Amino acid sequence: MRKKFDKSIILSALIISALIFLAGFSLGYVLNLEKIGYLENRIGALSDNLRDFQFQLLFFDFFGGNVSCPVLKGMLTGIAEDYEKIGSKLSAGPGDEIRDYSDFQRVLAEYYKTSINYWLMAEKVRDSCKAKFVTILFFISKSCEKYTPNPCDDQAWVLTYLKQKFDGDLLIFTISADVDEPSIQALKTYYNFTEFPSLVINGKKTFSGFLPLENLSAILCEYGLC
Amino acid sequence: MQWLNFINYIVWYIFVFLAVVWLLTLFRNRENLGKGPKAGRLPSVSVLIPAYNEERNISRAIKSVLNLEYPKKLLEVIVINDGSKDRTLEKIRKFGKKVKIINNPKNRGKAYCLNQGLKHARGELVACLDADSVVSPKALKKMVGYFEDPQIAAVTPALKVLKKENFWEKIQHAEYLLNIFLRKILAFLDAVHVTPGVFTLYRKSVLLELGGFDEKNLAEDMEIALRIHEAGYKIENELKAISYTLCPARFKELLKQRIRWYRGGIRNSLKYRHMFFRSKYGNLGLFFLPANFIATFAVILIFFMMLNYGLVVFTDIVRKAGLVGWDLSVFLSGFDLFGYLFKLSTPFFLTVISLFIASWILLKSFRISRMPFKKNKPGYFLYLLVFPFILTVFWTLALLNEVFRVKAKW
Repeated sequence: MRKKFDKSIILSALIISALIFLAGFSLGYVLNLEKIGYLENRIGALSDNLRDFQFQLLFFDFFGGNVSCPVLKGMLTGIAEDYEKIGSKLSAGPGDEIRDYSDFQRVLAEYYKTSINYWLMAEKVRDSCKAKFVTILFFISKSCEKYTPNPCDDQAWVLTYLKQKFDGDLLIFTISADVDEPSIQALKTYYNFTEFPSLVINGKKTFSGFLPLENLSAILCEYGLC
Repeated sequence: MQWLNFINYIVWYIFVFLAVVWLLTLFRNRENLGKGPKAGRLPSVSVLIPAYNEERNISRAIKSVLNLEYPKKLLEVIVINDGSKDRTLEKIRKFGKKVKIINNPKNRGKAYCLNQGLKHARGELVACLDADSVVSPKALKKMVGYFEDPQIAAVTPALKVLKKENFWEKIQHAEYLLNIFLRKILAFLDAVHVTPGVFTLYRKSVLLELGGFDEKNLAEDMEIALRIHEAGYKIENELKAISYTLCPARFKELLKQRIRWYRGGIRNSLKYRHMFFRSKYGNLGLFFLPANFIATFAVILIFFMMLNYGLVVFTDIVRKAGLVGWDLSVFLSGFDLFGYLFKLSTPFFLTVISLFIASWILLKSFRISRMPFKKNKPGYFLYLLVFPFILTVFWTLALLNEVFRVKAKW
């Protein structure tokens, strides 16, 4: 005897499950856009803080010692906290789909530009106030992905560890060498970086390629961070 | 890793699609869920109980059959002692003339015993009952009405777990409740493809026509069900006919049982592959058999993806710990819940949706089986959150055993 095939149930199920699938994707998409919007706002707020900071620096330049260095350093530390939080949200895990969004790439480029701005100001405070903190400009690139393990990720991990160890005495600024921004490209050319990861310590000393913890610790020790 | 995401989405789609098929079928038949046909005439029934080294359980099984609310003159109990080395035979003999005994000097296997019993059975219908199982008093009366339709060759019961004391029993208890739900859904779709040994009732003439049980099969209960469908007959399910079985209480026993079941499933799928995509076999041939077969490989794929992901994460953690001189404080001090939540993306939402569907189906299974949720809360959550991972391991081991032709164990 020929048996019955419930075409209507199978077809309805195909459509309903496709709709559920679509709902999951749409939810993911909407939330990703929200995340990008959130990050954009945070970076905008960070830029505003940096502008205030810049204003204080101009004040410092004009009035000299009338504006105290501790105020500037305090502001710098406050900004650092916000900067790191945004950075950790931007460094999403491998395979995270948000990285494929063009808006995210735009936000990322904005963040790197802000990093340069922030780094320049930190350098200025260190020189002007004879501050003891150490700055590291950390260049990463997509070219790192060719290698397993990824040397840029490894370097970021070592830097995260050192940042936790030295807290406010070490300021790290991450920049992607791949972002097509004049300021970023100018820095890359200035320091003549062709290999990544690359590090610039206190704006002067440069290192290319992955630096293990022992070597980096020894270098930082020369700058008073032991 | 893009292709892995793609495969992940396909697997996810297959499982959600299957779940939606079940739910739609349930919705369409919601009014027929608890209704079974009443018998106009009570047919004679022979209950076959094969037993091998079952001295602890056999008396309980026989007593449950003798307690069936069914006219005694229409009920025949045949116990087949399959070369037991313990006191099983002695226990059976204690029931005197209430049971017929077939005594095999050598152990020949369950299917052989069932075929032996079939030859001796005088009933129009034949029920098979594993010796470690029991049947509820009203079960038989609830089942016989279906046989008024000449197309019905077998009726399966609602099979529950007898004991749910430890971790493994609690999980299996929830699993069996889900199977009660699924078997009913499959019955609505004429696609029940397993007739469990715990009190499935068969039309004897059909079993004889089909040549009895396959004695060399690892899962003879699936094989006979497929043969019944192949011959054009139907298999029904009765929710109110409740039977109980002892499930493996230890991991080792469970592993052994599942490997045998799943290997049997793979072999039977291959044996009856000619039914795949054939409209003649209705929902079973066009949809469920191929979907089951594909789902087997999907489950195994998930296992390897999980294994791969686990290894990647583990080696990454170990390597990173090495990079910072094994100072593990770095892993703890950087904990930021909002940061982690922030990184959640589409696969996470898809997982949440599928978990929601699965938990709803399982809850529905509890309700259909009239099992209050609070009576096995641990089983419910363990089945949802832990057992799927364990099952993928079982399926993978079963496939590997099959590929490498490891000798099967009963």
